[in-house]
Amino acid sequence: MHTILQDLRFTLRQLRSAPSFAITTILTLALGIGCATAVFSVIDATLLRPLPFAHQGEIVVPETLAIAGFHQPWSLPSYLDARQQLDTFSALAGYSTFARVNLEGPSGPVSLPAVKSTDNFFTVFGVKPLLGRTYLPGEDQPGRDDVAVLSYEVWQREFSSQTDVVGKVVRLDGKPFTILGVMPAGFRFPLQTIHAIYIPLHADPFYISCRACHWMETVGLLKPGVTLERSQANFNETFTNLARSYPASDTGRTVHVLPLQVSINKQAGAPLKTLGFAALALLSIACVNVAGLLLARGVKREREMALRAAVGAGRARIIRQMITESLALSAAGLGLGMAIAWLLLAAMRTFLISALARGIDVHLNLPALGVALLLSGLTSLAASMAPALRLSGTDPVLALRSGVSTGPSRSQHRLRSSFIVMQVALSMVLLSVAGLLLRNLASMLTTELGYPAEKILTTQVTLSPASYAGKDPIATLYQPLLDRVSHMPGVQAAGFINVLPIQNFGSNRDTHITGQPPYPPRLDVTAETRYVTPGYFDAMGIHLVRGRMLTEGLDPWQNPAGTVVVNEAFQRKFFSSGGDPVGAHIDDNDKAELKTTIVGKVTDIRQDFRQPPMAEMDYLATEFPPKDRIQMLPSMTLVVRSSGDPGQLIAPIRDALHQIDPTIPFQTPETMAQVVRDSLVFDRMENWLFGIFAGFALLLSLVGLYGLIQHEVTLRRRDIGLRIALGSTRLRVVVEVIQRVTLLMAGGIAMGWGLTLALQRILGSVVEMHAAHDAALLSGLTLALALAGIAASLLPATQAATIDPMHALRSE
Amino acid sequence: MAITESESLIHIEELTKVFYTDEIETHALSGIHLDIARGEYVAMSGPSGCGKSTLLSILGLLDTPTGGRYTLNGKEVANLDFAARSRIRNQEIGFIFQSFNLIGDLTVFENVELPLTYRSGMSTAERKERVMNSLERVHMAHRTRHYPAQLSGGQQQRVAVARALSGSPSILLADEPTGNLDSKNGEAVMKLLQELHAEGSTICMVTHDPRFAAHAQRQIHLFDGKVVAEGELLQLLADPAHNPSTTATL
Ligand SMILES: Nc1ncnc2c1ncn2[C@@H]1O[C@H](COP(=O)(O)OP(=O)(O)OP(=O)(O)O)[C@@H](O)[C@H]1O
Ligand SMILES: [Mg+2]
Repeated sequence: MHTILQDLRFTLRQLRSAPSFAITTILTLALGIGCATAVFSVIDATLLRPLPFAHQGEIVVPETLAIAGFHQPWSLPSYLDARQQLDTFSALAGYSTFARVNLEGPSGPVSLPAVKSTDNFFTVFGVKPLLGRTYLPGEDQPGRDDVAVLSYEVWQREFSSQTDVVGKVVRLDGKPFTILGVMPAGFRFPLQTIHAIYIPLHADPFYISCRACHWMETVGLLKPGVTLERSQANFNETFTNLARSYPASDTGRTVHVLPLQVSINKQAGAPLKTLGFAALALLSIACVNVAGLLLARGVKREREMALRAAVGAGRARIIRQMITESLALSAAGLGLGMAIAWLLLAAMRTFLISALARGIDVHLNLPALGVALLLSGLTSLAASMAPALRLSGTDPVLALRSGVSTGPSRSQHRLRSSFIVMQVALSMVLLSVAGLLLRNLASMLTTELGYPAEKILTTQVTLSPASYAGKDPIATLYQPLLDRVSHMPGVQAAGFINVLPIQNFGSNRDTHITGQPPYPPRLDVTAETRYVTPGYFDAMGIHLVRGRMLTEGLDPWQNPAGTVVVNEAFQRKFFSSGGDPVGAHIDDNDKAELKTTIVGKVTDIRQDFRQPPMAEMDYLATEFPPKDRIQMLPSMTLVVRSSGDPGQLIAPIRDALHQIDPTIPFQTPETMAQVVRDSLVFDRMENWLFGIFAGFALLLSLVGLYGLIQHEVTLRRRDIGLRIALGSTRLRVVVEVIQRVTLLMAGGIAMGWGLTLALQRILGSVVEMHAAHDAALLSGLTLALALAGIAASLLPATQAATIDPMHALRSE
Repeated sequence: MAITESESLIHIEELTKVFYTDEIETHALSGIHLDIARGEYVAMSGPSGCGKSTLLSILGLLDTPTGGRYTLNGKEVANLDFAARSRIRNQEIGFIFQSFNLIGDLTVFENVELPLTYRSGMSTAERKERVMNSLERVHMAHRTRHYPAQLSGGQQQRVAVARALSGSPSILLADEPTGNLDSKNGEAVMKLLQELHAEGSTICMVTHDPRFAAHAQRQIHLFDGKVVAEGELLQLLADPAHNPSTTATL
């Protein structure tokens, strides 16, 4: 104990006398530990930490697929049938998160995401409410279903955490609902739905019998002891039965039963793991760097160590001295690293919340601290191992043989050089990934959308159906709002659409063109279906190619058959073998005179950012008879094209909306450019993180390289002085240093390339690499890395060149 | 004066050297006159700090004088730029240092070859021949692949002599070449220098040891940055009030 204290005291004195060494080492450790801890916190919160549910091992998500293999939600009737037939579930709940509801709270109306579900929803999770109770069986039935359960956040924010909310009646979408209970903090489902209110399903009568309407998701709790395979078999059987009973709607539908954990992390899991590798790579760069620094310092202390050995210090004793030193450094690195982790997480917070289902749960907590502690301990041990072993082997004779210049030991140098090569290699890998990600993101952000995204302002208008009972929302709300907005100065065009491009897609219908042969069963024959007002096309800059546009005059709802315009993608999909879409009919009714007619063809825009435009057909919103409109169009998105700064329009639009209906919450408008950015939030987060890591890795490698060269130059002062004394020019000295750096960089880069290729499968979860396509980018990065390395060594190189040849004369 | 300026290899007039450090200026050399003829073997001695190494480094163009003239081989070299001095050093001067100063990372052969690698237009074969020649002259040709750390002190110094010889310099400059050696090895190095002198080399050697100084043709005594006669030196050394430090505060 005493000797350890002595070691420690000596260590602190040593570090004080070498502040730049201490600072570099501590910062290096802190960067490595900080990044690794931050990433661990994210991985912990999203992949490792148990879900906030009682029996999470038994909670499964039955994912339903259409015959063509794409994800297709449940229809209500087939859910009800399946619920009855399945015998492997304690509870299989159906829910939908499409809707938002307007809560008329004490401080004005707010729009909240609503999780509408069947009565057994809470049974699946087994979480006790904080206050009151959850649904009783049968409370999803009409007449008993005007009840609500609050999430903790809604209770806090909208009800100021009043403990007497249970039993109170609030108005949701204008209808009275009784509050049953409040869920505890941390409970939420679906996990990405924050600030939600839970209410029973309230399915429209139309949907109760519609087997072709797929809109419901399910989550289930397996009976105790039931395996995944059992429940999968159970599902297969049930779906076969359903297909037999309802061949028209249920043929070919399949289920894939996934554990909840797996289903949550489908998108983020693999990239996060890769990110974990990136953090480890950064940490090992830091570790290797610190090892190099310790080694460099060790060389300076070779004589000290030789002396210690000469006066009888055992090898173990010297190793302990070295390790004490590096542990002291890592303690400081740990403190600073935690601060860096905290800053990183704070900076990432918005990204995390919108990109990851459990992003809001990411905190720098005790497990993270534990991991940081472990990492810093391991890192410093690993880093001090090589130098300690080397130095403890210092020949005591060195102490006696003063004056004999043996030069820095060669093996030591080889070790440090290989450290540098490794660092450069790891940096190369991270840089390639970051570079490719950035390129992909940049090319996505500059994707030709076909309209000026910065100039188009959008806002969703969601009305309270109860307040519009018996009213036509188009006549009373949408059209009057449109009239006012259209006349605002700076507005070029304005319209409504029910599903905003980029933000949402997948509202589609199986489609068949009258007169064409039946399509093969496994073919995707869906067409996106939208309801719009005529101004929408102008606002988005979609123009007519053939036929005519839709107008209220020519296409009134009283017409027996509907009319649509289709886009060019629709023509490519359904008229690939020729023929004119304009004038064709869609097979949506048995009677010929009731089939929808295509009256025009318009240009394409992307509905989903990541795919080329999909086939789309657009109806006028006024297609529905006035009495059905409130049911079909409870929410529309206003699209306004402005000639100037769209921000200027926000206040006038809000005023216009509230003049017409003050109970409707105004949702902050976003430009289409913002909508695009929102849809890329995961990509942006990935990019941001890998960018930071690559930057840090590069920085650490350059610091390492600089340190090595600087150290070599210091050690070789006499050698270099001697060379100059023997006639070497300064240029030649610089060239020799740079040659050495070039060799190290070349080795590192070659190894980096090897690693990148070897890791391609893992990296593929983050970014795809195509050697030919990415060659220019990757060789650019390679060159940049090489130049950065040479630049980092210029300073020590010039230092070397200015060494006084007199050093050669004077014995040290 | 026995030698005229034209036949001397080295001619120095009124040479001074002042070091400025912090607030102190040290007059290391104050007005040196010296001629060294081709083929001469000169020993330089004097008390510690009297300026021997400083003079030798100026002779070897490692350093520039503060004032005075220096003609080497008929060329004025006192105020050349760095690159020109490098070239002359490489071609005309061979150094032998007290602490051998071999590069630990290079083999014996590579150490000896080093000055030649700084010359352009010499073929590998010629370099090899020269290196082997000079190693043979110091009887070290059998150790070409060893590293300096694997040699004894005397052997290292012989390799250092070989390196000085390899470029066929006009003059060999040696600063206490025996300082780190025991007397037996010291004698061997002295014998080597004498052989080289006999073969025609010009040598200027700094040494403390009067026995070794006696090997030389001519002895020069430095005291307090000046050349003094031998008798004068003994007198000065005997005077305790006269210490060899010439500092003046600014
Ligand atoms: N770079 C320098 N800066 C300042 N003073 C110097 C420098 N080099 C030498 N001196 C001073 O110049 C004087 C002469 O030094 P020099 O090394 O030539 O002595 P020396 O005769 O070789 O001594 P020794 O026999 O101990 O080697 C000394 O006083 C020394 O302190
Ligand atoms: Mg000296």
